[in-house]
Amino acid sequence: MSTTRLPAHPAQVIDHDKTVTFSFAGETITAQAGDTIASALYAAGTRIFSRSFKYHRPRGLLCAAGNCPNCLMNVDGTPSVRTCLQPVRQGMRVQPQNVWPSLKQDVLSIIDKFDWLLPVGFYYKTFIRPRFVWPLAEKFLRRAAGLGQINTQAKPKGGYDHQYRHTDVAVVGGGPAGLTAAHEAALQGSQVTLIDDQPELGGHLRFQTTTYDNIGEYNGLVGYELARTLRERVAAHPNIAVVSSATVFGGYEGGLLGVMQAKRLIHLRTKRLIIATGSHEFPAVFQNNDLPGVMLGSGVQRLLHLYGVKPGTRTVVISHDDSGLRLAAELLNAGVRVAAVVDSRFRLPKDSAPAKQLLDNGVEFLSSYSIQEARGKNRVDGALVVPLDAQRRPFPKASRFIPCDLICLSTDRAPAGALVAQSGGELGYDETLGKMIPQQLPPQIFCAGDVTGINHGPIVLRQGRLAGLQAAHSLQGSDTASHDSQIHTLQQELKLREQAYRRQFEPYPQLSHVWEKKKQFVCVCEDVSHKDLAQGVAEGFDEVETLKRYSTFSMGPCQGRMCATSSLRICAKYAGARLAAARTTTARPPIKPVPLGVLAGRNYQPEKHTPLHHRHIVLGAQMMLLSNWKRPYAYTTPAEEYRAVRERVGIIDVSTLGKLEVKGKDAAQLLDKVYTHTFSSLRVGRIRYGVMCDDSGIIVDDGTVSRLADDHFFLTTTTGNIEFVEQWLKWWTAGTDLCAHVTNVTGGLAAMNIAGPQARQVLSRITDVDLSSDAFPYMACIQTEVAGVSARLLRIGFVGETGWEVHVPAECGELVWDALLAAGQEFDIAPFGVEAQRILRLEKKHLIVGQDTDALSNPLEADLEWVVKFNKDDFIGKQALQAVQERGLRQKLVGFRLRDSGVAEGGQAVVLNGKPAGRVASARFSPSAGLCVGLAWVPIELANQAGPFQIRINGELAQADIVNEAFYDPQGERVRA
Amino acid sequence: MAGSLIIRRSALHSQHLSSGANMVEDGGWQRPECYTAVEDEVQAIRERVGLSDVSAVTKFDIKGRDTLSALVLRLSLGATLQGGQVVRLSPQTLSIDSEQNRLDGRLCCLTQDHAFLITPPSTAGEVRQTLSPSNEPAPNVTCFHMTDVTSSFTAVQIVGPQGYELLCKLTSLDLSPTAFPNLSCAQGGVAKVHALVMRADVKTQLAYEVYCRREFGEYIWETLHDAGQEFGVVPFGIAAQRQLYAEE
Repeated sequence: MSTTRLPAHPAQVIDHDKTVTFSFAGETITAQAGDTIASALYAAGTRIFSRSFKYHRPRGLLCAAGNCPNCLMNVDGTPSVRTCLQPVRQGMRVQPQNVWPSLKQDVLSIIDKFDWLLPVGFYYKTFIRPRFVWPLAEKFLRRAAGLGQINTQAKPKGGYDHQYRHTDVAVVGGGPAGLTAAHEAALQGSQVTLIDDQPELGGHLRFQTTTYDNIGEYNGLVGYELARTLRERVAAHPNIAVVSSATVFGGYEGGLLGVMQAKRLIHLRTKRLIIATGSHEFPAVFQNNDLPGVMLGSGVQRLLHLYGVKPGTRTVVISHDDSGLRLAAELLNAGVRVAAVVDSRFRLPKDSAPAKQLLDNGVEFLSSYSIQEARGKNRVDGALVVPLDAQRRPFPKASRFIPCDLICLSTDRAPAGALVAQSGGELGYDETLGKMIPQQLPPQIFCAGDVTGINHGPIVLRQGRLAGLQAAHSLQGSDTASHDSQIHTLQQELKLREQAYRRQFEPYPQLSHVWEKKKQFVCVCEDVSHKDLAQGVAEGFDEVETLKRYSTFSMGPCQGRMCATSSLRICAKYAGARLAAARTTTARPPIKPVPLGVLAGRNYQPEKHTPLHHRHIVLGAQMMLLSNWKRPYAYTTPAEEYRAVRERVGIIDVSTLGKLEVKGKDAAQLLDKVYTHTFSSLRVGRIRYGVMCDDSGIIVDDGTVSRLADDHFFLTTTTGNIEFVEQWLKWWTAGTDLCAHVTNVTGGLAAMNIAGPQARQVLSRITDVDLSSDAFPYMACIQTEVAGVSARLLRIGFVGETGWEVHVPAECGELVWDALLAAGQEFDIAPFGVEAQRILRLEKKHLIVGQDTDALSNPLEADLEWVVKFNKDDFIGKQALQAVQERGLRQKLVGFRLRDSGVAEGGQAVVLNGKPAGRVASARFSPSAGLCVGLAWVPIELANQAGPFQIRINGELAQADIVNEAFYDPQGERVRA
Repeated sequence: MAGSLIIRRSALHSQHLSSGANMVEDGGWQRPECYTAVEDEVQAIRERVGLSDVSAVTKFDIKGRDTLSALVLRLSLGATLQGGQVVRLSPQTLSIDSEQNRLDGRLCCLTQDHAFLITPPSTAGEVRQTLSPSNEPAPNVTCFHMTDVTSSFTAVQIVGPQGYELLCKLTSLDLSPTAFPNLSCAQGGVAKVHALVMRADVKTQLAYEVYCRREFGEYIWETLHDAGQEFGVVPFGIAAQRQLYAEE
C-alpha cells in the first residue's frame, strides 16, 4: 500500500518540486526536499520502523516528535538517530537496528511468545538455576541486549564546539507561550534569548489548521497563521536572540542552562528563566497499544500538515479533549475517512466548530467511550472500543470492534517539567488535571503554557504575557507601579479563566483490569507492561523510584516522556497510595541524549612555543613535549652534542625556564622568606642558587636569583613550575605590607645557554663586555648588549662548563641565536637538546626538582643542606626542617656509579637485604666516566656505609658505589675557568 | 640605542609568512602590511570579522600600592579610576611624539594596585620618562613599579561585527555588548589560556583585543582562526588597520 501526498499547503515544510533519494535497508527511497527520514519512509509505505527492545515486537511511527524510541535507526554509521527529526540528505544510508535479518522478518520476535521467561526483574529471577543455564543464556542475552551498534572503527568527526552566552531572560520553548513571553519581556527592555528545539518557531501551532477563537487580537487566525504572526513579531524585535533547533538538556546552579545545538554546546547564563517547554502527548495504556498504526494525535498532525503525508485511509480517533476533535476534522479535510471519534468525556462540546463539522459529515461520535485493544498482526486492522460506566471504569462486555488502519491517540499530555525540577521548582500531582505540574517556583523562574498543565490557547497566550512581564519586571526593581497593576490585572483574569477550565475538565478513564491482557505497554522503550508494574508493586517495590529501578521503566531513550505519568498512576493504584502525594522520578540532566563529543567540545591543546621554536624546526630538531613546551630532544645525537659541549662549545634554548621580576624595596625580604637561602646579603650583580620549600619543608622549586639592583631581582624557576611559583610568591605578599611585586616575564625573554671551553671566545665576538673570569666571575650577572640587542648575561654552570645564560627580548631571540651560531661557526658550535643537557647536568649531580624530588623530599635529605640557612630569622619550612634535623635523616639522595656496564633507569629499585629500600631518581651513561652514573634515594644506613649497594636492573642485581662529589670536574674548575 | 636598527619579530612571525603576508617594517617591528588585498580585508572586517597581530604595542605591567592614584596624578587624568575600566590616552597625555604615533595609548585598570598600560610600538623609553618618579608631583607615592612586558605578551585585535560571536566560543567571560561596553577590560580564560581581554572599538567598529602570554601566541592565533572559520574570519595587516582608523 502506498500513501499519497496531499496537495501543497502553506503549513507544509516540504518542497513538492524537489526530490531527494536515499537508501533504506538497501532499497532506494525517494523523498521530497524538507522531509525527515521518517516522513519520507512513511510516505513510501513503510509502517514498521523498528523492533522493540525486549520482545522484538514490530513498532511503527508513534510520536513523530523525537520523543519515543520507535523510529531510531542507524544513519550513515551513527546509531540510534531519531529519524523523525533528521532531515533527508541526498545519498544518505539508513539502516534499521537491532533486527535480523530484516524489519519485517525478525528472528528474535520469537521472544514475544516466550515472555513468561522474561517477567519483570527477570535478571534477578531466571537463568540462575540450574547453574549450567547461565553461561548459555548469557551468550544469547549479550547478543540480544543493547540498542544499536557503535562503529568502533569510526574516526572522530570533530567539529564540536562550545559557546558561552549571557542573557537577562532565557525563554525555553518557542510555542505560543514562549513566543508571547519572549516578546513581552523584550518590550519591557530585557535582553531575551529564546531557545526552541524545532527548525522554526511556533510549537504545535505550526501544524494546526483549525481556527482559534477567544484569543483577542488574533481571533479568527488558524494555527499556523497565528504561529507565523507570533514568530514575525519576535523576529522583528532587536532585543530577542533566537536559538533554533536547540535542546535545553539541563538546568544547573546559578542560572546556567546546558543547550545543545547540533554539534555545539551553549553554556547559557541567565538571570531569569521562563519555562515554556509545553507538553508531550503520550499513549494510553491498552492491549497492543504498541501496534504499528497506533499513533499519537500530534504525530498524525505533523505528518499531515508539515510533510503533506496522508497517514491512513480509515481512522479511529481516540480523544479526551478538543484537540482530538480538531484532529478528526483535519483528517476529514485531508480526505481521510474517519470511522469514529471515541471520546472518554461525558460532556462533548457538540456546538464547537470541529464537532459540528464531524457531525455534518456523518462521523460516528462515541461519547464516554474508551479504547480497549488494538487488533491486527504487524499492523492495525481495527480498534476494540469500550463504553465507560459512571466511575469511568471500562465495561468490557459492551465492547465494539471498529475496522480501521490508523488509531490516533489524543488522550493525554504530560507537562514537560524536567527543567522546572532541575531549576529548583517543585512538581506536584494535580488531581483535577491528572498531571504533574509546577507547584513551587523559585523567584527567578516562571512557567507558561502547556507545562502548567493547561492546554487551552486563550490561557496559554496570557500566561506567556504574564511570565514575560514578571521576569522583566523583577529585573528592573523599583519605578514600576504601572507594571504592578498590569501584572495584577492579568493575574486576576487568568485565575478566573483557569477556574473555568478546571471546572470543565473531566477525569481520565480508569485503567482496564490488568490481568486480562499482558501486552499493555507503559514503557515502550524497555517493553515494560502494565502487568509488569503491577507485579513489581506486588513484589514490594511500591514506591516509584524503586519500581523504576526494578522494572527499568523510563530508563530508555525517551527518559520517561512516554511513560512517567502512566507509571505514576499505576504505581499509586496498586500501592494504594494517593496520587496527590506522589512524586515523579528525579529528572536529572541530560533531558535529551547528548553525544559525548558535544560535552567535550573543541579539543584545546595549549602548547607553548619558545621564541626560537622555528629555528629548531629549520635545524631539523627532534621535538618533544615537556610541561606543555615544545623542546628539542636532540638535533643530531645526544652523544655528539654532549661531546661538543665538553670539548668545544654548545648552545641550548633555555627560554622555557620560568622567569620572574621581583621589584620593590622589600623584595629581598620576600625572597629571604620564601627561599631557604639568604638573599638580602646578595650583592648587586651576583647570582645565588636557591631552593623553595613549603611549610612542611618539602622542596617545591629551585632556581637562580640574580640581583640587578637593590630593589630588583631576577628569578629563574623550574620549567613547568612557573605558574605555581608566581602564585606562591604572590600568596606570601598578599595581605602583608611588603612593597614587593612579582611579574612573570617567562615568554618575554629568549634565553640561550652557551657553554663549553670555547664559549667565551664565541660570545666575546658579539659583545663588548669583558668576559674574563676576573671581570665576569662565575655566578655574576650583568646587563649589556649582545649582537646589538639589550641582553642580560648570567654566568652559571648547569652543564658544568664555562658558560653564560643570555636573556634577550623574545622578539630579538632569533637574531641573537643566529648571531651566536654564526660567531661560533669557526669553533664548530653545536646546538644541543634536552637529552644532552640531562647527561651533562647529571655528571655534575645537579638535581631537577620534580624529577629527582617528589612530594616527600626535603633539602636536607636531598643533599642540599648547604642552601638551608637556619641562622635566618625565619623562612617557609624552617620549623619543619629543624624537626627533620632533630629526628635525623632517614633517607638521602646520593650519587652513584655502576660497577659494570649496565645502565640504570629512573624508578628502578635500590635493594637492601633482598627488599626494595629506595629508588633510582635519574641515571644515564656518562661518557666521561665510561659507566652509568645517577642519583638515587637510599635509606640513610646505606648512604653512610662504605661498601657498594645494589640496584635491580631488569631483574638482575647490579653493584653500585656511592659517589659523594660530582662525577665530572668535582672541584668545579671548569665552570670557573 | 642600537636597537633602532634591529627588526623585531612577534611570536606570530612565521605564521604571517606562511599565510602569505607581505611584511614591512613599522616602528622597529616587522609587521604584516596585508595578506591578500587591502580592500578585501577592510570589507571582511566591516561585514564579518578580522584578526590582526598587534603584539608590537608597548606594554607595561604596573604594580604597587599606589598604582592607580599615581597614574591619575602623573597623567593628569583628573578622575578616579576603577577596576575593569579602560582609559584612552592621547599621545599628548603620554608625552610621546604625536607625529610618529597616530594611535592612542590605553590604560587598563585591573585592580587598585595593578594596571596594564598599552602605548604605541617602540615608545617604552618616552613613556617610562613620563611616568618616572622624578616627574613626581606627589612625593608620598613610594610603591609604584613599572615592568616593560612588551615581549611577554602576544596581542591579537579582533575587529568586526562578528567579533563577539567569535570570542564567545572561546571564553566564559561575558563580553556581550551591553555587559562589556566600549573601553572595558577583564581577565579570564580564553581558549583555556589566561588572557586580558579589552574592548576598544575602532571608530564605529566593534573591536576586542586579547593579550595572552607570548608562548601561547601561535596557539591562540590558530585557535581564533579555527573558531572563526564559520564567520569567514580573515587576518588583516597594518594597511587595512590604517584605513579603519582613518575612517570617519
